[in-house]
Amino acid sequence: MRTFMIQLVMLWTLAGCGASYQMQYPESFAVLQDQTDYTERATTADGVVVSVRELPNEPKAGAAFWRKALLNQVRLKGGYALIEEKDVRTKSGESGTQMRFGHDEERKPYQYWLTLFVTDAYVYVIEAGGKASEFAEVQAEVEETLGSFTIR
Amino acid sequence: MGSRHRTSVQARVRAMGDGLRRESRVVGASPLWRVGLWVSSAFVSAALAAGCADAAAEAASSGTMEAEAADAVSSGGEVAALPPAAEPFDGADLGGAFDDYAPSAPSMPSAAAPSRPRSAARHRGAAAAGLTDRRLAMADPPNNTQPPSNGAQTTEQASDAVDTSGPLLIYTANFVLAVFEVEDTQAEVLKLVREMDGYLARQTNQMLTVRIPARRFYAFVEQLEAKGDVLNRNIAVQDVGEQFRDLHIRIRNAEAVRDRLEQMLARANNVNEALSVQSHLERITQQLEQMKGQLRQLGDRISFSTVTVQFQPQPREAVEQPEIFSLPFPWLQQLGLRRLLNLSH
Repeated sequence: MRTFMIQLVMLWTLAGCGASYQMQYPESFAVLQDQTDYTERATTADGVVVSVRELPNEPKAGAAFWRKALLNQVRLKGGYALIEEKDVRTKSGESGTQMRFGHDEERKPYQYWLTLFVTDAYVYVIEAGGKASEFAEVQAEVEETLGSFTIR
Repeated sequence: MGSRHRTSVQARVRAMGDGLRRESRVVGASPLWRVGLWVSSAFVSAALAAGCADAAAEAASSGTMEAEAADAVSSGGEVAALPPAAEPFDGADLGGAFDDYAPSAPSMPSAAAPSRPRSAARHRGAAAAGLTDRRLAMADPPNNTQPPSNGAQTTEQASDAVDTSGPLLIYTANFVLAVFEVEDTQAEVLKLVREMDGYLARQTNQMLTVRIPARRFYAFVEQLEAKGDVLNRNIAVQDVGEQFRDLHIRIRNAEAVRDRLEQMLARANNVNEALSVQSHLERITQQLEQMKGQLRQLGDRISFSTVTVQFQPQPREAVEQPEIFSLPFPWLQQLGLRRLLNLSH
């Protein structure tokens, strides 16, 4: 019986908490299941979405490379306006970079944040976005969520 | 030989000459006949001048200025060695005689002619232009082909610096070079030109025309060819020795005629004589200037070779890199609000 319990815990760990990171969402967010493009994704009822991509750091590159790759893609190709860029540190002490973009879709302003963490093994790209008005309402919660990001 | 007798002989010989000239006009339908008659006429005139030297001298001293002027001009360059003939002034003969001096190039506009003939001292012609045989055969021409600071100096210096001891050659070269960086290569070529004491004649985006001292022509060409891939090379060498020396002789003879006219002008007894001689003097002075200009130009082309270089950018490998570089990571293309906010997938 005891052995069975240990195996159950291990299976739970592997299945539910298989990611190399952990992030906690507030109650206003619902975590979506069965994501294909994202490692995980969560949304508010008003459509403010937060997602995480856990990508192997291959080819292996430093934070500067991935930061520039993201910036070029979103800013130059996507046409997003870089409003702010800053270094961030999570509660667990992870250091990363955050780029905050603004973007208009059909004359409506949107917020789009990219937060990047890079380790030797993984690249973590956390996206957060939504209509500017809706985003402003949950911005503190988004920041709280990002601050909870922990690499195991 | 008495003066009267000499005059009689002169008159007879002149009559023969005039008769031959008239006959040639009549016969005119046959060019060969005309040439023969004109040659005969020339011989008669020469006999007149040679046989009646004393008479001519007397006539000259007696003061028939118009006749002297006409004779001086009509006898051409060779007459400089002959004593003045005592022929009456015949303006009709002057045209043909002046043709002997006419340069091959188009005549200069009359406005360019000096309003007064210059003094003999200032107008020592070839000597002034450094074209005496002694100066022409300079022992060390290379040191005298310094790069000019402007175009005017170019021709002056060039005619002075011509070494006539050997063949007089004009080097002209045209190159087509395929190069990678046209601007940089042009700058390198211009630097080479300066090092060779040459100068830039013309420059466009993809072409250079430079003048190089003839003595350094081959050295320049050798270094120029190292600047790029020579697609086309065309080097021409023209021997202008005969042309140069002929021009030199014609200038010297024309100067002699001009000097004689100046002497006559100084001895003019009345206004009519002075005006007549001055008219001839102005014409010969103008032609003299033209010939000297030609000589300077020729000297310049001999002293400085002309090299034209066309630069063709060498075709590079086509590199089709978009303005915004794309990394080979598909997930990068998925970033953005459109996919993030689309919860259906």
